[in-house]
Amino acid sequence: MVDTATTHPATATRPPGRPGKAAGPQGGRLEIPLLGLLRERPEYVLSPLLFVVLIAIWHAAAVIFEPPEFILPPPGMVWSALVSGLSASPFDPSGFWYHAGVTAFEALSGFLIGSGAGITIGMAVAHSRLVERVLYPYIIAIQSLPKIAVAPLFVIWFGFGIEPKILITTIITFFPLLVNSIAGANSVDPARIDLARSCNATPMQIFFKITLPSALPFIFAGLNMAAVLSILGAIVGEFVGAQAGIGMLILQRNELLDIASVYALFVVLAAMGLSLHLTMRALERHFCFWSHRGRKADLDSV
Amino acid sequence: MRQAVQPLAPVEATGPHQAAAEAEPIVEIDALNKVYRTVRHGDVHALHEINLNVRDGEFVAIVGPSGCGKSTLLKILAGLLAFTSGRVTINGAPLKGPSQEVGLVFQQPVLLPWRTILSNVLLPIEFGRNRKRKDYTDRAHDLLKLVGLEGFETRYPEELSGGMQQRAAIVRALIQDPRLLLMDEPFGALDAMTREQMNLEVLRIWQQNRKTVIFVTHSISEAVFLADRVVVMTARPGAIARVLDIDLPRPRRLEMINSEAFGAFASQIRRLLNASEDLS
Repeated sequence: MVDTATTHPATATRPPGRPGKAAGPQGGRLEIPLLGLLRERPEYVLSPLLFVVLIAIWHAAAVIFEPPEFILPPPGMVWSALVSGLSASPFDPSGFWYHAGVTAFEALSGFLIGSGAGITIGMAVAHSRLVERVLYPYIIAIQSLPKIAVAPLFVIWFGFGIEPKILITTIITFFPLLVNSIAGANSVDPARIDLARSCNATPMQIFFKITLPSALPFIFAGLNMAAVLSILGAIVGEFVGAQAGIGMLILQRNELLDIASVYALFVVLAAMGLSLHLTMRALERHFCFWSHRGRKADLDSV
Repeated sequence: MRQAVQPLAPVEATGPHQAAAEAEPIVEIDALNKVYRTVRHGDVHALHEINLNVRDGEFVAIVGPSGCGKSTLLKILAGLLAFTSGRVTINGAPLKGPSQEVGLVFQQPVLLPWRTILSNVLLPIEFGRNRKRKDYTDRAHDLLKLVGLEGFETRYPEELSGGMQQRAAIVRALIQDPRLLLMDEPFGALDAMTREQMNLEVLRIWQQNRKTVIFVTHSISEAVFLADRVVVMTARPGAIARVLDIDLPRPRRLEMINSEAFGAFASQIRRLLNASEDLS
């Protein structure tokens, strides 16, 4: 089951490099395109293969050593927990979709507010050298502080609803964007500014046509970091105290020693993180196609 | 051999050379001083008592050692830098800031990598007063054709060679049909072969469009080859040592570089530059 699930997408996304080989009539239907793929993009074959091997080792370990299920459940059990969790309705609080929705909402809201504020304030700070020099020591000091430490405080202030989670995520995502926006705005080639000024550009025009686009590669580097941190922020917020969300569900199933479900929830979290990452990468490729960072991401896309 | 660009404003049909002889000064620089006040080094005299008039249609080259203030002078003329004292008029009006009458070409092409060549060339139109891009696209196409970039309109800068990028930058400087073109070591980053080609190109553009050009360079032979007059500057403080009339015939051809007259001008400039080196 795992085998077909992993090899099929791989053959489907095979780059259209060597059509002649794939059309070869010699018996081995799958082997020939797979071999061609192995030569051109070995990661497309080796990456799913590694997954299969790891699952096999896990399964073998569970069969041979028979550890208690609350320590290492066999992969099959995790799979069934995942299937049963995902087959529940999105409005059913006993299923995964409901909680994944809550966590995703918290993470995305915080991400949008935090990164939006980070970019805006970062650009404003970078606009004035003096403001930047005055604020920079504070920014660095706060950035090196583990923001998660304030999570319990937020629960006291705002209760067990989604507000403290959004707030934690906002703060966590704010700083990478603040720092990267300042760095991006400072990295703009002064000749580009001179060019715009020599054409009588207004400060607004300089910002939107020169500074902001020039800083985009830096901003996207910050957004990629913040995307990962946003889910972390939401989960930590839920750990401290919550009525819903993947983090709350992990704690709940943990206490029930339903470890297979905890593993299944890790899979859900990984899927959420991966889709957020891929979205960010697609946006970056669209808006930063011209930067070397963007082009490199293009080349080693998964 | 290529078709001339239709200027936005009609221009009288005289050659640049004849026009230059009787034309009024388009740039007048009177006792210009630029002093940088620094904490560590005190006052630094970047430009000292600069007097220079440039006639309409003239090609003036400025040579000098690094730190002689030639780039500073160009930035002042472009309206990007305030000066300390003196008087500068462009086209009869006192210099107050950046003007549409002035086009600027930098040492690097400074093209925006997220814009196509056509979009880069039209960038100046998007700045300042409300103007429509479409009123200038025909002109952009004509100018791109003039510099041999026809067919590259939809390409991105990184797909072009350094020389081609700098051609696009020249088109961008010409898009508003300025009367004065300021070029700050525009070919310093190019290889020798491309550089010679670009020099011929600049002369052709200058002759066809009848611009006034102020061209800053490190290269003595480039200055002599291009210019009607060469301004030799010295460093610390940046001042004009001598202004030489280069009365080599036009159109200039690459073979002239080997002529005796050309060599005489070049060695005279070199002597002036060396003399200033010995002083400092």
